[in-house]
Amino acid sequence: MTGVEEKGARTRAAAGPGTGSLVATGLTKSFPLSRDLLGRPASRVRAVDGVDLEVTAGTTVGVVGESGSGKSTLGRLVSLLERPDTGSVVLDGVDATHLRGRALAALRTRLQVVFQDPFGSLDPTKSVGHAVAEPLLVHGRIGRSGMAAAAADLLAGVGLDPGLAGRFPEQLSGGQRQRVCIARALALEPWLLVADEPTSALDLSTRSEILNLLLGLQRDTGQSILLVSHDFATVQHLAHRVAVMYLGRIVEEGPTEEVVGNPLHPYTRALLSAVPVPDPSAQRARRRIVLHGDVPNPADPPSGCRFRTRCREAMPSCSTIDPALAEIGPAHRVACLLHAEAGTPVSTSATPRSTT
Amino acid sequence: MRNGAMRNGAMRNGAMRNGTDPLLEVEGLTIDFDGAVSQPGLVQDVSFTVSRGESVALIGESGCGKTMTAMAVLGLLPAGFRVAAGRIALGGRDLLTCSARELRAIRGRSIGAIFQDPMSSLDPTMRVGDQIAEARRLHLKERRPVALRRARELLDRVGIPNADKRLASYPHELSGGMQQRVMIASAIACDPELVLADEPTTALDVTIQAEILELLRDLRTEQGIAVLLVTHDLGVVADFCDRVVAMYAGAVVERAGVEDIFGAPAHPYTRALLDAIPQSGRPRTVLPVIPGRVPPAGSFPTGCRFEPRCDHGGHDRCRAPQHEAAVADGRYSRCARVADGDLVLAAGVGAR
Repeated sequence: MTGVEEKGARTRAAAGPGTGSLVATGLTKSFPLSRDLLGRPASRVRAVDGVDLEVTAGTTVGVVGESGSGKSTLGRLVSLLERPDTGSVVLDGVDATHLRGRALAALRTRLQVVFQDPFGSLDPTKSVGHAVAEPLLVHGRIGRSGMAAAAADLLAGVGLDPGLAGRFPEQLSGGQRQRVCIARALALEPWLLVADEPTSALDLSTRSEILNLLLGLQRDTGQSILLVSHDFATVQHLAHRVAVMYLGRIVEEGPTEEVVGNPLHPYTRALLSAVPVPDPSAQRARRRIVLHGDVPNPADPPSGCRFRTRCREAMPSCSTIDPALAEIGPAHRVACLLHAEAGTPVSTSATPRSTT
Repeated sequence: MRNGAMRNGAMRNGAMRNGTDPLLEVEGLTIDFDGAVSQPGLVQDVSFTVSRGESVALIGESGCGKTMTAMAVLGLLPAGFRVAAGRIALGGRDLLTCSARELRAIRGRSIGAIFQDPMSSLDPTMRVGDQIAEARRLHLKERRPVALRRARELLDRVGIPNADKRLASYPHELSGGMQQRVMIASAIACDPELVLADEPTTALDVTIQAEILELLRDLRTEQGIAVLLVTHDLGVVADFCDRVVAMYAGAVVERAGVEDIFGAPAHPYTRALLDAIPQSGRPRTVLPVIPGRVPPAGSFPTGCRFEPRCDHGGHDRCRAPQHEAAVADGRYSRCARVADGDLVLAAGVGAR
């Protein structure tokens, strides 16, 4: 534990006070795509390529993007399931990037993950009660005799009947299973919850139950949530801030209402325009911004701006200049040459259209 | 098929005349399960029509019988499931009296099907071109080169670039969106009258979803193809469908035009589904939920099937079996209280 404290003392000043604050800086992660005869990677795909992300204590940050944007890899880096190639993950002032052994295990209790598929993340041979109380047992917080009581408390905490403790995952509905996963993640009272598509496998009515649960938990216990999802309704409902990813980069980031109401990056605008609103007259009056083609091969991203091959507003300079995320409004950052200089009015073609 | 486009336009404006040109008619469809434990009425008394060129949504939570109903239309009910009563007709022809051989001739020829996961519906060992051509060779007895030429046109039609090259691709070489386009190409290969799409965009990114819906929309306006869309995404329904059939616990609880059902639902279940949608203007607020969950098949209440979860239940009338009643022109509700005017539900999306 001393390792944690020392590291914490060193980095605390940079991260600021609070519990559950997350500062990720310059994260990159590449995976080998093919290997040569000696097993060395011959080509690599950069799933996450220079991402800075901050989650203020007690808030929710949503990460959205298409498949292949690197949002799930970012979630895995932040939850310390993968080690970044470069960059750092600082959790509550503690740089977790180079921690190993006990110090890492101690920090892991502070950070828990909920995955999309509640069936795949529960052991079918273990009872629900065992599943939710197991983290406490593993980390030596309780003995076997304390499991039943702990399980009942945890299940009640996520709105499940404690009587379900004796059931097995296959006897539960999808929504109940997701609640069990959340109860299990909360057992160690984490500061930060990383939720990767927590509602995507659920029905509409069950989705609203899980949204209410996550909102209530944050209100009561104040943990931070990093929400990775392609379900825009979920992100819009839960997240204080949202980051839009494209090909391993964050292209726009800001307060959710600001990004949704005033999207500035052409990709964000196209993405938002593709989300149908559940109101027939409003939906049919909207105009969709059509994106041509698929997401380019992440192993061979376009030069300059990575979105330029599908961008309607691409300019010649877009193929040579790789735009950095620049702050163009209050806490609103965009990586696009149209908005390269903060405060400079953009051309009329780039005037954001209303999405409401 | 220009008149198909005109029909669509008329329907989009909400001017639907039920039964004017019905293509698919489902009447009183009841499906039983005959197994170790027999379960009668898994799908109970389901009636709806789909007109030519029209798009009808089947909505409801999982376990409400949407897919089962769609499978019955295709004549593909799993073993043990049996149509116990009712009628399914396509263009006036009774599908339930057809032999297996006749049904095979109808599937793929008159009815095309698209499912959620293209990778599990496409044959991984077969080139894309042959897969699309197969339907034409089988149903229209076309020779392979002729059918492949047509497959090439179909790939163009569904917006796959480099169609010539793609004919020789295997499904795994394509992205998810492209695979779904191949599914659509093979579903429309024989110019069907009806396409049955079961959650066709659920596994796709929103940008790809929008393109697939656009493609289906074009097929409707240009070729007059009718679409029966099984989905739980109400945004997709609002975007794409003319009429909505809402199912709960195996029964149709409401049928209405899309504007009507979103504007003023006529069944507490439909109202509750709409209320569960997060409203963009009210982030981080507690959403109304439907308490409890869909009862497991076989243990449906004898009275109103939704009553145990309903905000407006507890009345004597709720305990009696509910029947579908016309509440307005072309609108049906299976709530006795709404039909009698005893219960008036809030109007509007997110009214609560």
